[in-house]
Amino acid sequence: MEDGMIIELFYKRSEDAIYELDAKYGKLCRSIAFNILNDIHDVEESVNDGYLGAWNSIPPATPNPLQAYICKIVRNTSLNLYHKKSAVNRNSNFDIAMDELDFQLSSPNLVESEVQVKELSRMIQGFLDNQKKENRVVFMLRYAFCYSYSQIAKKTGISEKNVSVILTRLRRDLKQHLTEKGYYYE
Amino acid sequence: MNKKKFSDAMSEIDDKYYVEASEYLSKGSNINWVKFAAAVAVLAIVVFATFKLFPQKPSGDNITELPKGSTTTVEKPIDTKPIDTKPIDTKTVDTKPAGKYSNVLPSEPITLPEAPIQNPLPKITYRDFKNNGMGLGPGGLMAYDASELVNSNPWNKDMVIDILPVYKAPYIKGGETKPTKDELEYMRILLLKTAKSLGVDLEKVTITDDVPSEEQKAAIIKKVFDKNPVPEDYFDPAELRIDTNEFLIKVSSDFRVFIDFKKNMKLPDDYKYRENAGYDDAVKIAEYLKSKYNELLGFKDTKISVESKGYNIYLEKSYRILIYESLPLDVDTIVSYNLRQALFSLDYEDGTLSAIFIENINPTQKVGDYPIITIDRATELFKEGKFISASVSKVPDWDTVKKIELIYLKVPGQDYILPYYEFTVQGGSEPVYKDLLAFPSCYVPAIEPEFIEEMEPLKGNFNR
Repeated sequence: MEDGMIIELFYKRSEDAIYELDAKYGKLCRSIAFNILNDIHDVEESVNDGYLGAWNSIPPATPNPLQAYICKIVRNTSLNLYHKKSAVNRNSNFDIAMDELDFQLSSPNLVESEVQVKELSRMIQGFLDNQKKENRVVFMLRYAFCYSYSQIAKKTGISEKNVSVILTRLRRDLKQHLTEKGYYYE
Repeated sequence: MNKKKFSDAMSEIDDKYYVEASEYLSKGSNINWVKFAAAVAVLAIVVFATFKLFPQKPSGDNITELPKGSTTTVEKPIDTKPIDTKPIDTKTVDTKPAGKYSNVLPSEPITLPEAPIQNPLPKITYRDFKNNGMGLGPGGLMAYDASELVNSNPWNKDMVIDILPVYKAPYIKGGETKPTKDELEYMRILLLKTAKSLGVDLEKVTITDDVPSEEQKAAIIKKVFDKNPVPEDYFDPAELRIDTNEFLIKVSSDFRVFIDFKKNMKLPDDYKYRENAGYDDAVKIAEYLKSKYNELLGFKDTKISVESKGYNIYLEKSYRILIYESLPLDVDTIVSYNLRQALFSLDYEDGTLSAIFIENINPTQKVGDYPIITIDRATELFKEGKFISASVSKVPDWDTVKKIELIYLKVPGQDYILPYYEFTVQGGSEPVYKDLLAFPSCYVPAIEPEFIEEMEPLKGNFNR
């Protein structure tokens, strides 16, 4: 079912919207959630939370594209669930991916955490805009969707070794980019 | 902190990066996910989702008998005959069976058995769906003024409505409710009739279903059930399909029909539908679609409803177009408007028709006809805070109530589809976005309280 129709169902207060959303993007959502949570039962909980979040936010939200919207929501619900349980269990792709980013982030001029995040987000976007598509995709698959190197290799057709090289360069360049913007310190 | 900050920032970045990357995820092999999700993705995902989103299956086991002596005080005898059991009028088409299902329309119409009369009426349950402030919830819209929130709900406060039917909430494909043999046959005929109305040559089509392949079944059994017994009907079909060059037509176990136009249908040049199309433009298109698809729907007295969808964050206003059947009795018309609509999906980009979604009612899922409270009684309950809402937790001031309607609400996680009085309120005097005000909704169950019981709220939360 096309996205517009699914949105219509959300607007129509129809639970069919959830089923259609699941039919179209459930696999993708579970894939993202699993990379973060590494537990099938937690995956279901976080994906369902994501669906309920979508159901309660549409309307008035009219997300376009819907795919990115639900990906983001499920990523957030998965991370929230992960952080709740992270004291007990630290073995997901999320940990491994984030551990690669060993540099410190700081912005002494910005106090509010939310503002810091928005500012950092803007800087990352600026960084990504200057990358070629292949690099952007590899970066996103690793640090947004938390895919392993081998998973990225299979999805993109790039060898695992090259994925590793690309990510190493991207991290180095991002570090430099953030340094230039005053957002990094050792 | 740094990792969390970086992760939060990744959540904030523009959708375009997610889209670009996720396009790769829908291509090629399916990585780790396949290792466990081959089992889950086809059917079990929805079962799990059902357990989570729908904590209680609406089986007969969950229906609570009223205590003795607490019988209803309904003065008017309740006619429990399902109002929507329409025989499918068919005539024989001389075609050869193809594939697993016959594509021959039977010469005699079939009718589904009516739901058994339950006396006393079973108690109905409902659940709140609070969401910790995320979004306005269903029915909630943003607009500059409440007068913009239009629709063509046939209900009005002067109607005398004593009873309305309540249905068990359907569980769609992959869920727990599988169609019976009769229901599957009804689905097949509905599918063929729909295809025929669209001009599809039935001799050249094959009906397929959503039953997984033997390989998928084996994976599901291994991963989901391990050594536990597999329910007998677990792999029974819950959806039938006809796939042609022009359409994908699907009928699900709750008899809803989905028609997907593989190539969007262009509207005549006179009909313009874009973002910011005016109400009159939308009405004109609705009238056109009504005339074009009335035969498909089989409605005798067809009405259109052009409904506000409010504004999106780009301040673009849009409308939803649907049609329904007006019937001699107000009760039937209310049910028809709410549960037997045909919804048209129009593509804003080029003003084309991309899909039609036709709701239907399975009469076997009817629980009974329940006495309805008056709007005055509903107002009292609203003022007592006895409503459910995604975003309104405190009782709003009465002068913020902008609209009251009687509607059916198909809410995820509810065990029943029942009527509610919807109170649309203005959520504060300050705009929530640009100059747009928020108009969330509060829902008071319209069933007499003695027949209804509020359950624990849905567990799912967003950004908890």
